Amino acid sequence: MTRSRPTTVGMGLACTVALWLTIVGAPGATAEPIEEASFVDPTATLVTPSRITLHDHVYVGPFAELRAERRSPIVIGEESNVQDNVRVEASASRGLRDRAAVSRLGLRISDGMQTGERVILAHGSSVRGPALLGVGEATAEDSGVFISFNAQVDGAIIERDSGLSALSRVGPGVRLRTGLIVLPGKNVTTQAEADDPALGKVRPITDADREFNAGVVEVNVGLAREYNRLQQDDPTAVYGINVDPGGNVFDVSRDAPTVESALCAGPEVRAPAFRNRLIGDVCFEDSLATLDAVLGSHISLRADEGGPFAVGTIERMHDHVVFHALEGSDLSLGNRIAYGQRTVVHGGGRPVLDPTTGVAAPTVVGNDVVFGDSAVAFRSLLRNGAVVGDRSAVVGSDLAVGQVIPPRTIYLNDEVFGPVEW
Amino acid sequence: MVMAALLAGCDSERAAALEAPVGFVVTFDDTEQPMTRSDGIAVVSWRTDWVMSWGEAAGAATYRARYGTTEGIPEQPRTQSLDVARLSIDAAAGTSVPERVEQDRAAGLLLTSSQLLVSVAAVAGDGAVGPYSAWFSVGDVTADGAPIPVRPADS
Repeated sequence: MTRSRPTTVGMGLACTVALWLTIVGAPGATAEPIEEASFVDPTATLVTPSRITLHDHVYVGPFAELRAERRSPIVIGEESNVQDNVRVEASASRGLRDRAAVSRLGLRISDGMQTGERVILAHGSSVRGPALLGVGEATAEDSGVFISFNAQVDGAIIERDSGLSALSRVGPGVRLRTGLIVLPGKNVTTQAEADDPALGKVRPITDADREFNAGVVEVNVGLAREYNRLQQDDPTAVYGINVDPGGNVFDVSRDAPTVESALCAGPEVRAPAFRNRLIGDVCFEDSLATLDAVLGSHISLRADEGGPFAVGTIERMHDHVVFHALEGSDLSLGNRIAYGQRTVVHGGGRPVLDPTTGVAAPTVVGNDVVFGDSAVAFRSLLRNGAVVGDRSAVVGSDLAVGQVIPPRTIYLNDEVFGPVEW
Repeated sequence: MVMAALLAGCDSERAAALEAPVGFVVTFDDTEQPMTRSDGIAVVSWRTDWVMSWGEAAGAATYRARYGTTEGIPEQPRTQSLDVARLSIDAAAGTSVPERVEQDRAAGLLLTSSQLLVSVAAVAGDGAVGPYSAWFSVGDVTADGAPIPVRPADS
């Protein structure tokens, strides 16, 4: 892996033991300009920070967990990002058989978890070390690595220019080679499955994948820069319910969430002491007191690429839920919705035109919808009473009233694509 | 500094003379190769290019594409120079049993369109860049063969 040489500086992180984190380019602590600095959201958990190294331009999102150990480091390469609720364990416990497989791959406890440049750990994904991601010589043409929503790398090696789709997994002892992407929901447990697209678990990477990855890297480098700028301007603004950093192409201003009206007519709220991260132009129908009662913890509703997100009354939102969307691809959530643990709801223009606006129809979730644990919804219309089962994904689909997507199901284009195999 | 400002002013005037491309049409360019798996099962290795073309813009010598994502639009998006009013991008690929090829191709294109956005502009002979088009999802197409804009052209 190619890395710049890190320097060690102190950094006051709210949730860490008072140790030292090695971070390249911490703003204000070195001569490094803010444009090159990394940013760690104050809600991120860093265990044994003396064994964690972040290189330049790294963004670590809300409630990410980086769990290093004395013998097992974590190294995050330049221009990589660790998004909301990502879990990284440098050395995970596993059974004898899996330990042997990991060892045969050449991974050692002392490798911990290391990434090369431009490795993207998207919302809710996880890595169980030892594991190496982004292995190989970085070139301008390669796309790094993309680990999608709620996917998992477990005791594996992921070479550069590859990736995992949503809710997929690469298991112990497997090396995912350059040029291949694991399909949604697939569990790759043998080297043959990882190497041969004909076995139905991987596919070749495309130029569109490469352009996407490059774009995501740039966006997150921008987030690191702008969150650092926000923190510099107002250190309390990166906590709790607060403003987005603004400063990007489509979201120049710094907006705070509002309450008591999903139509954004209610009062603006800033509450740095609130336990969750509710960021930017998110409009809640519930009052602040109700949100306090119905929300679990480690929740990241992040409208920092724009907004607004219209959020109706919440029946119950369990821990580790993530919302994210691009401005213009509105995200609208109805009343009495129940969100399971680690639900990811991602806005995005649906693959149909809205005749009134002339652009893609927005992502809409109706009333009384239920999301199971680790469910994913993206670019879809979920009508009233629809249910997305545990560890299922709905993408680009239009669910009928009361339609139930069973647990562990990938549902794309209004049809079942396949099971989630783990 | 004054000269640079004047030159910049000239550039923006030249760019103002260019118009954003219009008349977008999407087609798909599919390639398929039959194969036999090691266990004897017949499969098809397939690949699909998403091809977007548009009408020639007055004054355009070339065109430029810029890429964004559903995770956000970079402050300085990656760009690609195009000699003609046409963008072709490798958007989905896989290996499937014959009866699954169409479903897998549609799923692959959907996943790409859930990720990658593109916008194009005309470029004058002197390098001035005109206004960009709307952002389109790469991989999507409407029933009448047009791309789907996810957000209008930049104001």
